[in-house]
Amino acid sequence: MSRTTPRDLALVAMFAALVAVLGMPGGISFFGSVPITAQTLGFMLAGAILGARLGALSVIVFDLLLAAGLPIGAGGHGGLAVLTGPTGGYLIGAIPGVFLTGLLVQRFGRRNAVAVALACVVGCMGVVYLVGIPWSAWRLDSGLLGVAQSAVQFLPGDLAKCVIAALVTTTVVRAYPPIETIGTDRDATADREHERVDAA
Amino acid sequence: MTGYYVEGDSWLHRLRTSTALLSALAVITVLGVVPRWWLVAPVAVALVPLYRSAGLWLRHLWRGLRTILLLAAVLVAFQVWLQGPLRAFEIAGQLVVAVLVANLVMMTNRVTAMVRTISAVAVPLRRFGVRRERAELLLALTIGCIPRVAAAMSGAREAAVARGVRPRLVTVVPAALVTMVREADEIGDAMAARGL
Repeated sequence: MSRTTPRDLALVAMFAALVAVLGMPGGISFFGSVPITAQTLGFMLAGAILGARLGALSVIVFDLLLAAGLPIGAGGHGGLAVLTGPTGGYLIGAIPGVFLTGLLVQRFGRRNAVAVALACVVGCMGVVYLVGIPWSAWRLDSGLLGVAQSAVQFLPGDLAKCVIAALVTTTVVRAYPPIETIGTDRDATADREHERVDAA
Repeated sequence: MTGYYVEGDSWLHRLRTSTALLSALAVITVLGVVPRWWLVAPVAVALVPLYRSAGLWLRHLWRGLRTILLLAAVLVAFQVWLQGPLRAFEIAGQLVVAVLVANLVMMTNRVTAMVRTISAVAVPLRRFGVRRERAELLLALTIGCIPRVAAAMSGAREAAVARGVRPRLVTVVPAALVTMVREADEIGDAMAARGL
């Protein structure tokens, strides 16, 4: 496992902040009353772009700040209440979920949109639901309600977000190729930064 | 981003943040594991004098209540049908109480104190190379990055509008991401220069 550099920390902070910004009210709304935001898109991008270790770390940071009471949850909610509530499992499940998405993306690359989308489906939907559904079944004392909630509230939007995350990732890698190597041993963005400093 | 904090000098305000946070977590966990009426009802009743003793009024109680009321109503309707009225009120009750307990902690503790307390989760992870100062720095750094990311997003959105393109997530987010990664480079360099 490589050492976490100050730049890694800054990237982790940026992506945790991205999740917060994407979750703010006025994001995307599909069903009107149910606050469906682009927050999970932020999780997917953290995994797809930062990779397993840093991506999962940015989810941990987001969850901790949410627990600390920052109103950064979906729709501007915040606090321990969000994490311990019926949908808290989805936020906690995002830690292993993003880790797996990052692992898959590191294995199969960030240039193939289909591969990135599948990595998001497996990690940020599969693993997240695996934690989130039993959690809400526990909090609501009903497996039926837990499944129904995930199917109605999250499934359609999440599928769309996997596609968006894949398109965004492939676009950003084409626009700024050094991003492709973030979180790997041959991190080119760091080298490139030094070249720029040398040239200046 | 002031959050939920309500100015005051009650015993709950003076209570150590870690104590308040751990007690709240304990209550929420116990109620979640044993959601029985003889446990939920006393805690629910005790909440009113607790809120009052912190100098908080009904409108503060309501602030937390209204975020969960719709869910609780739907839940009661379903659970009355699935498991009967007593169970319905037990389950909905523990959820509502959990929100009110969590809000009480947030209303009597500043976000800065909460962040500092929560960074203590890093202490038992020390043997894995996690240092508390770094954890605290990372949390603070993230709060500082929120306006930067928001600015990057709105900048990218305005750039799209200026080019006459309809701003869509697929075009705006990549542009914002490039800005974010470049800024992270700069922040990282600045931190390295300060020996962090």
